[in-house]
Amino acid sequence: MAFKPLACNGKTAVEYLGEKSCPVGGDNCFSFHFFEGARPSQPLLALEVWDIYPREWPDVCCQAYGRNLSSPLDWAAAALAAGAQAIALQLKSIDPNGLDAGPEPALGLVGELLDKIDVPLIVWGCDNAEKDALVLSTLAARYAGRKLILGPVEEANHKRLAPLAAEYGHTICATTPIDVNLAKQLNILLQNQGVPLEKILIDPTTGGLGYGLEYTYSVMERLRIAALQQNDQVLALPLICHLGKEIWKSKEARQLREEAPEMGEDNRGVFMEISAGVSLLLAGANILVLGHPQSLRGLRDFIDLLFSPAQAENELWL
Amino acid sequence: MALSGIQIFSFLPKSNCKECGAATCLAFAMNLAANKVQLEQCPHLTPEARNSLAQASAPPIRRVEVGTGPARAVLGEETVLFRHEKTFNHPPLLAAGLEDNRPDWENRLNSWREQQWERVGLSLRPEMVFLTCASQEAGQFQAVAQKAAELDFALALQGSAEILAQVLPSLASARPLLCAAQEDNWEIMADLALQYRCPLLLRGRGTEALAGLSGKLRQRGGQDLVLDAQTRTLAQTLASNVTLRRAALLDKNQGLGLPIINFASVAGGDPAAEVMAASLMICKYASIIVLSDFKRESLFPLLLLRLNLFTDPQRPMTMPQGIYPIGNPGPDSPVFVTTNFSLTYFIVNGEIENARYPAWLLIMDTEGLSVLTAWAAGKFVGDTIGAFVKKSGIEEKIKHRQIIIPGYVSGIKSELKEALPDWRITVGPREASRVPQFLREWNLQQNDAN
Ligand code: SF4
Repeated sequence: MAFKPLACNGKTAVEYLGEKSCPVGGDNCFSFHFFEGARPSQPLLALEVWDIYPREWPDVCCQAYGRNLSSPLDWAAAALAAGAQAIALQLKSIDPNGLDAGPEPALGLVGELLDKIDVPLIVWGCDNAEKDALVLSTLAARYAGRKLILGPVEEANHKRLAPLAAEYGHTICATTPIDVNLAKQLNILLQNQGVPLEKILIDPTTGGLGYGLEYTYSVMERLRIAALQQNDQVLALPLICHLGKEIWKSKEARQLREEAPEMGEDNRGVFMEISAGVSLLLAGANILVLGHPQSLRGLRDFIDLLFSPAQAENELWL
Repeated sequence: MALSGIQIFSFLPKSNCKECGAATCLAFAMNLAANKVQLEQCPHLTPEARNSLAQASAPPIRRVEVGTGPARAVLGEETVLFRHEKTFNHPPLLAAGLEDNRPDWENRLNSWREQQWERVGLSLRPEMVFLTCASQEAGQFQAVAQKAAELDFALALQGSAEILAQVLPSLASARPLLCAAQEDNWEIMADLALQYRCPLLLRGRGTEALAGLSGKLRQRGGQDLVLDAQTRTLAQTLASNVTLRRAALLDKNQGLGLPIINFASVAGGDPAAEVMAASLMICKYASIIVLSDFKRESLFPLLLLRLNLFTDPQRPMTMPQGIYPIGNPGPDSPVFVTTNFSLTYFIVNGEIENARYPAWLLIMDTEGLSVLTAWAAGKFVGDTIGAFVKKSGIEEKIKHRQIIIPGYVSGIKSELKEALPDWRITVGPREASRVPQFLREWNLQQNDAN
């Protein structure tokens, strides 16, 4: 009775990810606002898998996987068993400040993963524009047509990566530093390189909980407003957030009860990942990359609750 | 909603009698719009005009206060749907439910009070107890409430009108939220709330029920209301909260322009379910969120989320300028300098802590700008940093003269050398995530040098 719908004349693009063409996007209303619109696809929850043994990872996350961590393939299998709908391979080995490996090990591993899993495979570089361009473009050419999701692709390296990704049918994660205009500009640059919009995911850059999450939250809301209310096609693309790595590098998530009793039980990091994940889903995230499988289960429950079929009952509250 | 001078003018007598001290009614209206004068200064305002003015200038979501003294909190007064449009004003209160006949009630209250953390100079803590009279004894109810108030918790008191009437003479001064007026008891509850000047919870199943009750309450004179729409699922809670916020802001519906209370148990009883429900409620429009318990591991994430979303997007959070010792540094420990954007501070501080090497961190006032922006604005450059380092007092704390600047401003190295001729300037990493590795190497080098 009191309900005022917000006029939305736009709709986000539906994109099909991976070899099984898993759909994301296609919303014509704000996140979970089923009372005034439709969201044909559920958000996709992915889990991180590292290409090397995760020495820097907190114990709480390591314990969730146990011995599976020594092999990325076993790790991925365990992640799928835990309910992951996509795997986000982290190419830690190629970091010039670390092992500085060439593209060869990554080439082998991606091939094995593609053969073993049937969910979308996100391949994430080491945040070094040059090195990522080298390795990701090698992967793009070697796995032509295998529909990888490659990132981060920034302004600094898009010219090397974009034409290859476009030619071989991969999807690109366009990463910009928490800014609506820069996001738009990068999407236009990518289009100029021949990448169709439906092969671009927007990565707005994710701030951790207590470490700038609010900037990401508001930029995402503004991106959604641009897409839905201002009908801006260039920004009407699914959003991907790399939440797990931001949560699990923070001291507050890692501290163990025995060293910091005032922080409570050791599942605090999982709760931080769930709490931040809920806010990003509400701000419009279509894909969340998470660290801990328990966070994934919690956020799956959250999504299921909001996608619950008892819509008729909502009318009392409108 | 703030009115413009012209809008106010339309309510004034337009006689230009000057009794208010202004030359004309229009001048008075302009001053009133700018908050320079009080409405009462015009003696010729009709009661109807006064009423319409008060109504037209009322905030779209009514300001409601609960608690007194250190427990005092303001609810309502929100003006936007999305925080980037302006800001969210009043963080939702986090409350824990408690039944007064629990044998461990006193331990619970004490343990809840201990749960607080310091961050950016703010104290993060939950602020409310939602107390239900399950004992049916006014004495017991009052004792528990009194204890909670002594521990600086704001109170919500849930009980029958008879019980509330017995405890309010001694508890009303704490300005508790009375729970709850609903279809079958709203008159007596409204009278109690008016008599003791307490805010009142209004309970109705759905928007229509709430609007009806709220109208009746207002006619009886009760205005300080908080709405409970009695949703039964999380999807309903989201629909209801969005509807109420929009009705208040877009429709100026005063009957629904009131703070909202939500119960996190709507998503199920386990801790993860409460965390997700409460997180949704923080993002989408609750003013009070009731949890079943406060537990450090689930409370802390919620306090952080609330802190993040309720910071003013137009005003970056800053740290006070000064020297921040990390991990007990000594006279030989390295010295970093960076800006006072709180995010910059947190990230650098966190990485140094992670590295487990003690260090001094100099935080320079750049009006909350991050390193690159402050540099571009000329606030974080050679001579300003030099002057700050000299007067910071760090020279008395260390034996060496070496300072590490952020990698992003490597260009200022020679300028800074001019300003600090006795110092060695080292360019640190660009990204804070490289700080631990940098510190490891720095310490190795120092050991070699010795
Ligand atoms: S006192 Fe009232 S009526 Fe007289 S000039 Fe001032 S505003 Fe106008």
